[in-house]
Amino acid sequence: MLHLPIADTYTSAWALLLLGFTVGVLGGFFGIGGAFMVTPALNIFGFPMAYAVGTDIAHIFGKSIVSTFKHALLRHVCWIYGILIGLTGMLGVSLGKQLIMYLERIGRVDTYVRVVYILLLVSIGGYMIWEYIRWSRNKDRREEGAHHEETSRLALFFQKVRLWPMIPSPLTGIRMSFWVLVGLGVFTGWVSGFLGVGGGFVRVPMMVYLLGFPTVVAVGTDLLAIVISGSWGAYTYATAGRVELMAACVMLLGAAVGAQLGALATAFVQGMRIRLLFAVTVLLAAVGVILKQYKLSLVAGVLMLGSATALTAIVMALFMAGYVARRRALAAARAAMVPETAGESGGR
Amino acid sequence: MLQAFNDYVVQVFQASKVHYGLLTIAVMAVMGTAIATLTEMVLRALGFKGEILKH
Repeated sequence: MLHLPIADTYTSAWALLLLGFTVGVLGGFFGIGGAFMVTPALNIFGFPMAYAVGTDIAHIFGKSIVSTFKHALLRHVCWIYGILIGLTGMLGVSLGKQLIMYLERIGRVDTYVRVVYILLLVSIGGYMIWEYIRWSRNKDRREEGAHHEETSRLALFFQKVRLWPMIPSPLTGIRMSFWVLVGLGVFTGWVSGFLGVGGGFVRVPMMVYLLGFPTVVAVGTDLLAIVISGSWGAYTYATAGRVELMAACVMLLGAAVGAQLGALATAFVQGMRIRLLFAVTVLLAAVGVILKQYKLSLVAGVLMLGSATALTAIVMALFMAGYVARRRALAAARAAMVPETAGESGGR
Repeated sequence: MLQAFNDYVVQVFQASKVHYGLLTIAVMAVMGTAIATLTEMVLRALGFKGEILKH
């Protein structure tokens, strides 16, 4: 058992390590912090709620560094967009908190936050699942290319906005107006501040549908934005005495390994499949919030923990299947080249 | 060792909240970078390079 000196409580180090690994895989794969899964799980493991939130944010900051590192190696990070969205997101967080304070004064904060949360999660998750079904029914598009992803009409519209200065993204070839990026950063930050979450589950779909980023680039760029906002979050919670550093370190040990594997898995899984799994995760989070609304916090926590474990297993299985398929394809290509080379040398 | 680390954390926390905040950021950043580098080396040694672009 691990002693947590600031909260003065005990928890299992193995449980923290496993939880860290699980959300690490999901974080690296989906570009999310995973606060909506970790916070209730830590609460179940005996952390008081405020410490659960603070410790989770601290570990998310460390984990995002690991995931961004890996995605950068995979060339999935659009640096200038990530920094811009991360910095402007901090302004949005402040605006979101202002609204929360106002709602607190009029005594409506809990209801409004939960309703917005549920509506947002259900609409994002529902839309992504609908899009996946549409894509999978279209046989031609499916066969067109294993990694084909369609650019949304909204993204095409925003790409046509020519408000100076225009910011190019060398990685994707997209040129976006600075003001569109600022608007996106402030809006997603506002959602984070209003709902008290990291915002990855809003930013990734926004980057896909409003900027027209391929899913993997949206995931990598979002992780960079999380590093920026997460550093500030970890600092403020630590100064408030709500971070258990030892627990955050143990979680980070598991999360760092998991995040590397999760990020690597994106190179072996189709973008549309990532979107589908992401949608399932978002809808499960919505179910968790609905259960909390009916005072079933323990059930919600167990559901989050169980679904996180199941999703991690699915991601790892897809990763291994993709890796084996690619190795076989490479071996087949090499085998096909050998007789050709032999034939050429025989001819000479 | 864990107990010594915990004692140090409590000392820093009681001495200054700002220092505790900075310590948290520093530990997370250093640990994250170190483990990322180490895991990357292990993955590369196992043949998982992963620099395969699909977009």
